[in-house]
Amino acid sequence: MLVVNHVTKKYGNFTALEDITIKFTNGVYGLLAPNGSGKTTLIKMLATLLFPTSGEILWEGIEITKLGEEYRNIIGYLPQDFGYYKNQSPRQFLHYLAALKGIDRSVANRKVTELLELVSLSDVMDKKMRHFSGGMIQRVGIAQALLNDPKILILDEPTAGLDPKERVRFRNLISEISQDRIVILSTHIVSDIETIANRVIMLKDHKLYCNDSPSNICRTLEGKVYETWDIKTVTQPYFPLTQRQEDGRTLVRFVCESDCTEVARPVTPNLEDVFLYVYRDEAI
Amino acid sequence: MRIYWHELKKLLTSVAVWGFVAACLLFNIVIIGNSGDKYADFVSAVSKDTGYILDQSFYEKLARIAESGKQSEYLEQLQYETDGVTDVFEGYETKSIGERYIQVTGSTGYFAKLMLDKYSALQKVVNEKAKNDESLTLYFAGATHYRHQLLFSTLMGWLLTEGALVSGLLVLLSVGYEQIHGTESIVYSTKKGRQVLRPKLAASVSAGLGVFALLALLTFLIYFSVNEYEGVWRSSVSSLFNYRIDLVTGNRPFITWYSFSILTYFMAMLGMGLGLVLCFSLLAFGIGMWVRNSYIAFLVFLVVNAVTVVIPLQIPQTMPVGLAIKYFAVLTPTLLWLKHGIWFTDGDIDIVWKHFETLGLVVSLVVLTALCVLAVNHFKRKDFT
Repeated sequence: MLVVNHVTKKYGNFTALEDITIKFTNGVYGLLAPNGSGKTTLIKMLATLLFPTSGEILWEGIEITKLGEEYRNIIGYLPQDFGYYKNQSPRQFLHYLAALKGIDRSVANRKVTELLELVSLSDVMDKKMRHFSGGMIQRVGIAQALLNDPKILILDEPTAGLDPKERVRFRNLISEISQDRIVILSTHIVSDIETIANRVIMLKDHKLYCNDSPSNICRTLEGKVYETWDIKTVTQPYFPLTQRQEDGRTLVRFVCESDCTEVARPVTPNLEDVFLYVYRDEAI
Repeated sequence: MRIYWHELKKLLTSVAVWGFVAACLLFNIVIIGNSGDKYADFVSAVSKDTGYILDQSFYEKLARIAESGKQSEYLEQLQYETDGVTDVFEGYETKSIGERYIQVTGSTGYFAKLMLDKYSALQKVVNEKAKNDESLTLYFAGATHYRHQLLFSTLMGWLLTEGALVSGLLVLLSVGYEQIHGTESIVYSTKKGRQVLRPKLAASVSAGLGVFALLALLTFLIYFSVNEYEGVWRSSVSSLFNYRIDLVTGNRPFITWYSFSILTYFMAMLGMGLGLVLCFSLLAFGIGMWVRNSYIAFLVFLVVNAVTVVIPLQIPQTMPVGLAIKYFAVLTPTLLWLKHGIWFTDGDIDIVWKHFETLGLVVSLVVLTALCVLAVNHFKRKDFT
């Protein structure tokens, strides 16, 4: 079990994260928050790139800074801004990272080929990455994160740059591999985690806002989300969520704390509704 | 070891590094191209027949040589220069050099004693050289000073500069490689990520030393293919024909602490050069650890070296602390580099230490290694924002 225990991270006078406590067991955790809310700080602390100002992060009861190599050996990490060596091929790059992950050369040979096939890059595995598209680079990033068959897979904005087909493939892959490991998936794209996350962690004002299953989180808006073709008829205070064009008309989805059933159709809230409503005061 | 090879490959596939090496080599070739001295080549060729020791046999063999044209002029010049020469170390006393230095610097107390001790020790060396007739060797006769300066001062000096710059560049490139490519997060979060600096240091230092060795090899291959040395390799560098220009005491013999032939002195200079390049590599590594951007780090590397030279000059040496800074500054890599022309000798007015180059190298290596160990330990707990 991975435990974040009363962790605070400060940069001088600025508090990036305040008193965060989360327990992670096997499964997919969606870390959902707008930019600048401390997602990446938390992710970087889990990847040992940042150290908490106070509090501790424990793996199987032992502080990860004390475990050092032992802990880093079981994590796979895809950072938000994934850098790579332009003049190397994916195969060369993954072999370098395999060496850094302490993977035996013969195992690395097999694993690198397997993973590049898994992310559909086998036909370009010996081509220099200089001319790769953003999606291809992101797939190299996903492959490198899986190199050491990690017990904790940390993915920061993993679907950035992927086309819709690749995005679906990625979600399926995560679902497949999440049975016996912890997958922490940080994103501000709700659809990335809606279907695959067992739990969703939301941060607000640099603090933990909630850590619950998607259905429980959606339940917080139950009976408060409506849709209408004519928003002007809604007289109570409301918060608009989304708009959809259909047959030249606009269908507005909104949250209203009071009963609007006379002028609008109540609908089942989804994670995106909660996200938009919770972070309504912040730039998303 | 695998990581080491990966790191080495990253450096050696850098076009910028090879471009720099090519530019350095071209520069050295220009120096060599302007260095020809037919008379020195003649002396070296003749010494294959006469030997390089100025004894009876040398004069007899020299007298038997007959030349025509320009060569006969050279022969005449050689006969003139070697005629009636005496051992410069016979009766030579060194105490006055130390006294003159003390007088000029106004040094007192501990440093004055060190200076006197150094020249007292050098007197024993001079006496030994006199006993062995060490100065009675040919070297390049009247062309000695020019050839000695060309090889051991000009060419070696530029080579050391190039070695220091290229090793500094390689180290900073290696240390900053992940920052340049945006791969810090990926690399440093891996199992060996926080230890990767060790193979990075090893790879960049070996690449730096390797490139220095390659530059030296190519430069000297070209140099020795156009400048004849075959007959004089075993001639002493403390030959009576060699001298050094000293603005304080006037020109004086080239006195080394040990007996060096041209070949052994050349090898010693190369060895010392490798050590100095290692020092610059360690210095660059230390700077690279504190300054993340490689380009700024290289600028800091240059500034640090410049400051090492400027500070001793700016502090008034009428104060004991000024003198102390000056004398200790000589033990830093930059000052050692500046004084490469007098390595393995008693040094000059700025030097109170016996074997200053060896002492400086050891001190620099110890201090810089400690700095690097500190930096590596700091890196293990460094935040990557």
